[in-house]
Amino acid sequence: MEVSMEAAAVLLSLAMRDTERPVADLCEALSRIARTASPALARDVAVCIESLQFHDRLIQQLAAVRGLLASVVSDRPLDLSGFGAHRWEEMLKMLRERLSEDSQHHLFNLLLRTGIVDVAGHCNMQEAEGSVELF
Amino acid sequence: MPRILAVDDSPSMRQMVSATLTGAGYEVEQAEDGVQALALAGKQRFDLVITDVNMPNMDGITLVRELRGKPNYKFVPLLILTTEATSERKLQGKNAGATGWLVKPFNPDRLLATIQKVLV
Repeated sequence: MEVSMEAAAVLLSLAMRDTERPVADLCEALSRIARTASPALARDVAVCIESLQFHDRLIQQLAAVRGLLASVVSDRPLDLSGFGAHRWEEMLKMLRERLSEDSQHHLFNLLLRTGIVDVAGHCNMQEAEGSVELF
Repeated sequence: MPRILAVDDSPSMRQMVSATLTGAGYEVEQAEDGVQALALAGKQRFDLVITDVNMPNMDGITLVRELRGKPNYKFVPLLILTTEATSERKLQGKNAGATGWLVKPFNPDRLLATIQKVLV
């Protein structure tokens, strides 16, 4: 139970971390567009800016859920505050130290590689991203 | 053009505030927490500071209080931009010396109108 909840907390962190770079890229692109936008386009840029902030709100809510998951699992909860990549390795190290069985380590490694594990334990979600399949 | 310091621990929020303000012609500097903002504000003078509340190292309300304690920021508009909207927190901000409180997600036009108003 504890390991599942901690794995869930880490999975949340992984999902949050995965969106960090693409959203930052999107914001940078939007900044460039905003600097040169015509008045007509400026209206759309404003809509994008307002709407994109819901990602930030989602991240805050996920961070709160992650904090709750981490706090209920034991009397020695992992400190998972913040979602920046700079704490990622430290967080992984803390979690690995708490896994006692090989099967737990195996599951954890799968989660880290993919962000998602199918029922058979296979992982290929990230490999599929951006790929093209022709028939 | 007025120089504005945007403070938020979220890179995307900083980018969005910055995009909105630079698009309107303002010069914008960014800081990711209160400590960094305070250091920047000590080195150069900004005409306005807009800050988030919940940040590591130093929160936005403490930042406002610290800035208000500095002679060159006594009358500079200090806006808080946050998801928090309770009257208790707003009162804390007001007591710290904040000029205004904006709740995220911000509307770019409304943010610009507010900034124009407080910069007068």
